Amino acid sequence: MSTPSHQHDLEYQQVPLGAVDTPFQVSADAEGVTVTGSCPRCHGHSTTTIPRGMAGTKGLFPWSKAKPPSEAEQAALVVSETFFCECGFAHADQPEILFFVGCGAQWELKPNSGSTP
Amino acid sequence: MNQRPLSPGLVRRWTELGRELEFSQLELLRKQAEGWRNGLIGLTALITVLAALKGRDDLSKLPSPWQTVASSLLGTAFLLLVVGTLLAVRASFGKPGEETFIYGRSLRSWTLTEVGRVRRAIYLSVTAFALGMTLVAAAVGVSWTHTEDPATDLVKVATTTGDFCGQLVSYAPSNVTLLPTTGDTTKPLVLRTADVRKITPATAC
Repeated sequence: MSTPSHQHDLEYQQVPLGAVDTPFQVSADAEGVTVTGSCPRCHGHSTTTIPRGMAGTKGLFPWSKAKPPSEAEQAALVVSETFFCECGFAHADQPEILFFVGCGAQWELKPNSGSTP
Repeated sequence: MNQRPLSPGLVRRWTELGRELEFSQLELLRKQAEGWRNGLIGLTALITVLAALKGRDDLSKLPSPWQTVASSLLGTAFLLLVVGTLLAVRASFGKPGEETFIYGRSLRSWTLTEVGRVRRAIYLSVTAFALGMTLVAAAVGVSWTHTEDPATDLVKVATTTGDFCGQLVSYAPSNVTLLPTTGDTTKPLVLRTADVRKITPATAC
């Protein structure tokens, strides 16, 4: 199955797509979890990092090292969150102030549809 | 993970908030550190004040059971005030070292939990403070009402018939007069000087 090409001509629109089973990869380190895949709407390559941090701090003791989340934690996190297209392309009609540069789509991932490299 | 469904707009807003927080980590950390520093300075002041509190004069001047009562009250009050102060600082500036995923639902979930924890911490802090101050007042009350005036001219008189203690009223060639500090304190005790073997100053009878 060939990967659909990035549809640059799509206009920016905040579209909730619900739960999708698009393939994605999950990687994690001490700073957070990164989810990579293709946007189900514009098919652009989208990378989203879910960082760890304040609310509190990066650690009370200088010698305490943050550990990356376990695979179970990663899986639970990924299926509980909503992702936004971050293909980085300036789709038409994009607002001036934008936290997620992409086509405006947002989606959730179905359980067990991702992979951990 | 079962979560209440949120509208797409709300999820987007929480995730945007997470993005904003990601870029203000250091500022937040500095504010938190500043808050804890001020809180600990306040705590040091509190300890200093309590250490300086010695009742009317000194707790050691209290008679036996009241000395224990006042010390226990002050000790408990001290612990309650320390706990109350730490809880107030924790409510104001968060728990150092705590991390969460600053993104969308995770951030919202953490925020709602933290709201509950802060509310509890404030309530407990106020309760601990009120109890602590009540115990301090009780300790001060005990020390004021039970500290005895240092008696002047207290002496212990050893005689051939026994030992006596009291305030020295007069010493004459024929007799020694004492005012007892216990029992009937209005009736002077007259001892024959010839029977007196030793007179020594006393701090208490």
